[in-house]
Amino acid sequence: MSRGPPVVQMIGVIKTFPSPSGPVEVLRHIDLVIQPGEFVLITGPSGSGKTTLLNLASLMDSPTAGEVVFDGARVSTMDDGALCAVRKRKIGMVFQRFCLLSNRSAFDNVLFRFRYVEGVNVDAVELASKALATVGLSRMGDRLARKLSAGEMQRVAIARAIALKPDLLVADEPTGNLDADSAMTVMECFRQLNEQGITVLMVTHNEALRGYATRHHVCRSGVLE
Amino acid sequence: MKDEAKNMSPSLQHSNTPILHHATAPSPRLLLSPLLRDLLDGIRAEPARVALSFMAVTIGMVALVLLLAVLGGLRERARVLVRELGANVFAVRTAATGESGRKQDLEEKHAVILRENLPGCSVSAFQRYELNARDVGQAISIIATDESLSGVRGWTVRQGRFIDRSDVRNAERHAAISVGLAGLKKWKPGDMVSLENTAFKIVGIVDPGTAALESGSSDAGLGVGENVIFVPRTAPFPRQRDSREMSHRVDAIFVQATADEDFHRVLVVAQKLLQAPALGLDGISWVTPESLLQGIRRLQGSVRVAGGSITFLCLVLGGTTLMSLMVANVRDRVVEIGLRRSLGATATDVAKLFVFEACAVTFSAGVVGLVVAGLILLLIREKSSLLVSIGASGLALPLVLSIAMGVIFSYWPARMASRISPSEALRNE
Repeated sequence: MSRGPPVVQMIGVIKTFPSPSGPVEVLRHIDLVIQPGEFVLITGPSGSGKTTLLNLASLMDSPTAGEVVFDGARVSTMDDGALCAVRKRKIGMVFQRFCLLSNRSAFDNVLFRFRYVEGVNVDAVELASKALATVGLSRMGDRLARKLSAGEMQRVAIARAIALKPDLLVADEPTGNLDADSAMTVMECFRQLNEQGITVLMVTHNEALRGYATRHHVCRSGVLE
Repeated sequence: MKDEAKNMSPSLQHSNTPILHHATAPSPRLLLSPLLRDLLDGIRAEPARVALSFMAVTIGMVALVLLLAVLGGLRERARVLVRELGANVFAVRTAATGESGRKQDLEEKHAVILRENLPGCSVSAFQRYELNARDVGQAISIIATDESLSGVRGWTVRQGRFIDRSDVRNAERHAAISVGLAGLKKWKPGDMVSLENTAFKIVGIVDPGTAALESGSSDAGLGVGENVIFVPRTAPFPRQRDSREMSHRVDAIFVQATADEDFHRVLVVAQKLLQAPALGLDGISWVTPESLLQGIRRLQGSVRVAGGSITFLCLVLGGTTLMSLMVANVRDRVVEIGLRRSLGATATDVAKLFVFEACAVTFSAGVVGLVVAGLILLLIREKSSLLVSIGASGLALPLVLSIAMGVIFSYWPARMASRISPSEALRNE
């Protein structure tokens, strides 16, 4: 596996949220480096700051202090447009509850990945088709998202996330809403994607999934162990 | 499940292998632009709310178009009234009773005074009689006048000629008839007609076109009616022989100032002449283009205030309904907003989505409102005498306003949506 500059680097990251009783420190001095090709799994109890950490890594949020560096670029120097451009091209996200557009077909949901991408319209259909095939749902493309099973929905969400060849695939509790069999299918899917070179950052409370990762951290009370 | 996982394609597009086939044929909806697809999704997500907003805005637009059409009709009526009175023309006529309580009739001598003292101006007078209906079977007016009336009023002679100076000087039994009467009785120039046992020869057909003046209340008496026979004021006519006083009476005198004369100066001079105490005319009224328009302007003002208020309230109601739809839409679609942000949408993209949705609702409501109002206007024209008129600007305004409404009333919800932070939005997942 080739080792270039880190995909994501967190240096002394602190994140606080305001609350009626004063600021709450959710992440405390996080230092984390994710190299290309890694499958990093972060586990921890609810409220430990896993999702906040994921949001920072996927540039969906900004740290209160410290620095996040994505693909060699300091995030603190980026404006909203630049952050959006990075999210658009380099990051794929998978959510616990899939975030599919229920009135659209599975294929259209994957195609939605290209909604804000200019200049790939000609290739979009091909890329979306291939992404759907990658997660084993070639024959489900025409089915409305709301008529899919939970496991299928999550695989459509994964296809959407990988359709644009992301540098980083982040997943927030991707198996949280799935039964054991579907969870295994989805995790196999992540493993195969990682084996094909996609860097994966996943947070979950399920310790049993650590076997799929190349590196495992535990997040407790905002501290990464 | 393991087998299902094994079915997954072993090669992701990271490899440079060519794509051999489409896993799925693109659906026809792919042909739609992404923005249009977003719009359809938005409508399908909240059809009832969208329908409610659509209806409210449509009602507002119908009210607006009807208001514009009524105001346009009043403007048109004003133009017609001024045209029918004649260019640079004012009139003087006998009021019901004078201040002294005695009826003060205008007489031919007053027209003579004006002719002699207003050089360069054309002066004409007429006296109207209602013809005994038994003679012709229709309500017909006889207008005894001079040769200038047609020219002063700007009427069009359709066939033959109007009565001329020779007719008046020689008291010829010649008559011009109105287009309406010619059509009704099939009379034509050269025909002889009997008016209360007096034979008149028809010399021409004239189009007075004074329908608007006829129907007005403040200007009643200035129009001549539809079925009219114009005869020289000097011609022997049974009713004129009834009394000497009657034979000199005139119903109205018209004065036309030439284009290069100051219309208001001529009017003031004429007023001084006829209101001189020696004449004893204290019961006359003056009709000018300005006085004709006063009533219409009052009406326009009332319609503007009353109709405008109702229209404004309808539009605001439609707008607030739309705004509540958009706010609910934003709240219901927070996760979708988060998803879009995660896919690279900027805050502006998110705002544009909601503004576009709102504009699509209001614009389509504007179009439908225009169509509905058009049908109502057609019905009004068919079934009533109310004059309604709407021009191109009147048609464009509702469409422009509908888009403006969409932008204005979705601005705040769209701003709200654009300010939701991506991580906050996805926390709602």
